[in-house]
Amino acid sequence: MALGESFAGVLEAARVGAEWAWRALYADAAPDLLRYARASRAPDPEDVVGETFLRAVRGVGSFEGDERGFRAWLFTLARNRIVDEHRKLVRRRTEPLPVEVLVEIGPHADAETEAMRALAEDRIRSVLDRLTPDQRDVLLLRILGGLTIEEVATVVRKKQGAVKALQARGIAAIRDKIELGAVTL
Amino acid sequence: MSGSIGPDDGFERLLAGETPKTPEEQALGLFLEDVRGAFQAEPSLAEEAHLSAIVQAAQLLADKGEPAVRSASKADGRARHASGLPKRRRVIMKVPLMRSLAAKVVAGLVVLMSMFGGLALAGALPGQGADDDATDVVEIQDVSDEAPETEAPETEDADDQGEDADDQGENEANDDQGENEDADDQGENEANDDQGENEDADDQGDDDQGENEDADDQGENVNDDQGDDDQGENEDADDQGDNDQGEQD
Repeated sequence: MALGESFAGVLEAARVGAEWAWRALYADAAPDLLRYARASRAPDPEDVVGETFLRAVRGVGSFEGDERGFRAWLFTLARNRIVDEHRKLVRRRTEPLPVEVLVEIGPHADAETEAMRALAEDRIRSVLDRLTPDQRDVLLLRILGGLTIEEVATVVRKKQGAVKALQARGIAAIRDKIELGAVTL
Repeated sequence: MSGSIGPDDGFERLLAGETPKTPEEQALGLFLEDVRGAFQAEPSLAEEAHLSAIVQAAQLLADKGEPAVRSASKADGRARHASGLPKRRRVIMKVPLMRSLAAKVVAGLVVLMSMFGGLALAGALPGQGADDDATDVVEIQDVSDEAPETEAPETEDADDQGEDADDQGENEANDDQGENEDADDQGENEANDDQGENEDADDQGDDDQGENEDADDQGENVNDDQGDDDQGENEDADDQGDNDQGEQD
């Protein structure tokens, strides 16, 4: 679903406020951003996606790069937003949502599918929880975001060697779980 | 690099979409699929809301610049005027000096003081020379009038001196009394006692009437003390004065 060669034109149109351009950019990156936000345990993943694009709107005038760079930039904005949300969550007391709101944002597929997905998500989370935050961040950016080592290094503001080390340690940490088949359904 | 494939190499191949070659890579590939499947990106209910907000913000930004730095008062203005940092203007407050009534009154007093002060220094005030003559006359009169007046205080002072002398005389008279006592031993003790009382009463001056007789006695005593001191004579003088006062009363 990459924009490919049309990215430059889309970016120029987005800078002048073209609606179609922003819709194209949103459709390309929003799903991966949403999955990354959910896997990172963001309090409100959809809000993270919306805020990420609003920040992109403000900064698109000064952005320079290709499509992969734009994607990495979006993940950088999303990660910063998630970090801020986690910090706010520590400082603030959680308030429960009304029931009608929970119904709106709740599962929309059939019960069996939702149950299977919830079970798989719990197992994946049990494995990811064995990792350090940096290891988990690197693996999620690589798996869900599709970013390269260099791009992940830019997002997490670390050197490429450090990112490689984090990735290797993370894979080694979950290897036993993977070999035992504890993760796969 | 002896052909052993590390976990990172297999991980990179799986991310690139290649098929796993080893059981380890196969397990790792299954893990990646599970991760991608567990966190699916179903159509978001907030997608349209996000897009509308994004497009609105993008169009506003493209028309009028950065909203964050736009001043609120120029938000509806043209793009050339709306964008840019808010301007801070320096307003100099001009407060008139003669604004309050107190300042006016003080200023008027200062003007009057300076005006009359200058005239006084120049000697141009009306009647200023007559006053000088008057003071000269007063000075002359003071000298002429004070001359007799100063004589009277001199006498008083002399009296005081006399009294002082009396006091001295008293002291010495006490000594004399001792001498008188010696003389009283001859039979005039009461009179000597009266002398002591009289001398004390001379200072008060109220008992002068009854003291006159005693003063006579003093005179006698003084006469008895003859040739001892001039102070005795002063006492006589004092006693006389006292007697005179008593007579006047």
